[in-house]
Amino acid sequence: MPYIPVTFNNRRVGITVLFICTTLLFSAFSGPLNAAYCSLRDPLAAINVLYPESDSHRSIVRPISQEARQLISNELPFTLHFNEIGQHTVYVAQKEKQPVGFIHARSELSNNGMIEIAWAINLDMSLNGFFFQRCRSPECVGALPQQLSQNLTGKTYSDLLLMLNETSSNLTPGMQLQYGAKSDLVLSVIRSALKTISITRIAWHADIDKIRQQVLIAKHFGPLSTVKLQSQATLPKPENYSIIQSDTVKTYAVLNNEQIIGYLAAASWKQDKQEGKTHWLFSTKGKVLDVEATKKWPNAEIQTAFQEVIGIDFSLKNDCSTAVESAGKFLYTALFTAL
Amino acid sequence: MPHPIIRFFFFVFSLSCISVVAQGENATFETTTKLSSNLRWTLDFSSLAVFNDNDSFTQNMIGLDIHKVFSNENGDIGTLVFQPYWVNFDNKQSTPYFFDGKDTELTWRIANFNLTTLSKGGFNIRLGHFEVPFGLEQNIDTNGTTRQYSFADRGIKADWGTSINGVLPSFDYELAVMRGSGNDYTTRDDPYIVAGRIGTPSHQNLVIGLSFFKGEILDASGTTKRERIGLDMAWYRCNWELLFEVSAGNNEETQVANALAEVSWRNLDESFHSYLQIRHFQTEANDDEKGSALNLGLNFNITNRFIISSEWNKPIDQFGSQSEHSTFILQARYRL
Repeated sequence: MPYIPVTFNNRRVGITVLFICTTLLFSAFSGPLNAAYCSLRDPLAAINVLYPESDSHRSIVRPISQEARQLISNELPFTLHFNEIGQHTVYVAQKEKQPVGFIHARSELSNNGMIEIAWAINLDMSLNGFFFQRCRSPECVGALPQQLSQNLTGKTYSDLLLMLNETSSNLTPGMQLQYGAKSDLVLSVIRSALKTISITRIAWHADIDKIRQQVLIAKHFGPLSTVKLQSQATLPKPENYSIIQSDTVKTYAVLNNEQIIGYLAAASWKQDKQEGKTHWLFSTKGKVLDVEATKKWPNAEIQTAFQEVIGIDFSLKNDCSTAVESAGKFLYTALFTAL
Repeated sequence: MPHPIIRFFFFVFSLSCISVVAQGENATFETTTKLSSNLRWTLDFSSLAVFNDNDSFTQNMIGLDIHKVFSNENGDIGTLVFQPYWVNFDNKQSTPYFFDGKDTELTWRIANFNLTTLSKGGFNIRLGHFEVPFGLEQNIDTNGTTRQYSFADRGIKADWGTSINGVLPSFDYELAVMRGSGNDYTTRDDPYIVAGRIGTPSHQNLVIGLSFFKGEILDASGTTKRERIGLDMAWYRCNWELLFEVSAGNNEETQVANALAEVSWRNLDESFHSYLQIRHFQTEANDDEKGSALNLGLNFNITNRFIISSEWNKPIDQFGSQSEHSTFILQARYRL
């Protein structure tokens, strides 16, 4: 048996006990697990595999607050682990200074221990692929990652939910049949995808909005264009423009070398059970240059309805025949009233 | 070296700056807001008790842990990691030489800036105080923990210097030129280190690395010339982890060899970690002396911020001045 002498006097033992008790007391109110920050590593291998065309990446560190956690928990069909809060990083993959997508790495509990997955997320919040940063199960090597990646690429949050059963506690019978003995791992991966999309769009929503605006104006006005928030005018009360949530409208001037070269409006819409957020790009005269959804369009019909207004000059149009045209007229009014 | 009081004020000043910066979006000055973006910081408290019949003592540490990514619209420029730690020994017979006979000292754990903007992370330049790139230490963080690997064999864990490093599709690498003086940057006796490691990608379940180390390492009375080449391996499967490191070389003119093997197990959510290490050291001096030891470690993440760690060290073959008795280490660590 080892000889373990106890040579400390009472004062030292008292101080040590006091320290331990104090830290235990504090720990009762503790939040996230924080490994020493020197152990943090950028997911470089993942970024290079998932976005081979990118030439740089930009980190955006944001806290996942209790409030954000509550919103995420309300959205997810399963419990968010307490470790999920704290500060996390989303990486923006860029090509020639323009964002091409996001990378967000998350840990997920599996039957073979913790797995860490770096998710590639498109600018419209659909999936673009994934990379096992850490998966110590033998199932993670071989054909599964490629097969699963093909199944998940392009999927939105809603699409992913359809891969789970009603309680989200398991895969659908069809998915179970497809993946057989590997279903448990696939379930962990899909839950990680749902969690990652939800956390990204809630905790990083302001950054995502800004990046999507940047991409939209670069597409029409070049990469040197910038946006400036306009002072918001009192908006007219919506009449038959009810699909636009008027309290969500924000208007911006698009600038190049201090010159206004266009206008941008951001607004949420809602009709029946469908809703979303849109960016509308206008010329200086009031013509709609583009309309895009900040998330993937709910369906092709809605996408077509919104994109049919592209090209309409609302300075000349007084009679609106569709709800989306009415929305366009409303935003045109908001933009040009704010001038 | 600055006077301890000056160093203490520097430490307090650093804390104050960070507190202001951490106000983030509410801060008054634009530069402050910029400094607070992509910033993580915390305070790290730990108390460690070492029980051994020769030298039982406690070691208390309070540290600042800062991680800041500098970015602009073109992408990330680089990462600053800044970890000054205030270390106090209580009842220890002799403190490390750079404590200058005192019980308390400001120590540098990691404090460097890694310029990452040059080539998508494939070619970075690091400057400051960082771990000497060698063996298992390169990929597994053991700073401030009871679990350690083979740095004692080389006589130094971290040092001031510069390195080129990167992550490429087929391998990770770091090549460093360092001062050789450890915690304090000093030119006394002209120490130096050249060290490097190249290994297969660290995200894989089998990681193999090759390292070299050459230098004259500063100690209390001068320098010791050390040369090593090493091979390390990590293998992961489910909750199990196997680590292996072997190195050989010279201390001055004496040939030495060192080996370490570890098997460890974590529970599913990794709130519990246990490991068993076997260490072996031998030298050709004094008729091929050999020494071996067994380390058993247990770590409990009591909560998300509070960790209790313990390690029991049992010498198998006594070597040189190595203690013949077992050592038991208990550590409580809290990250604010």
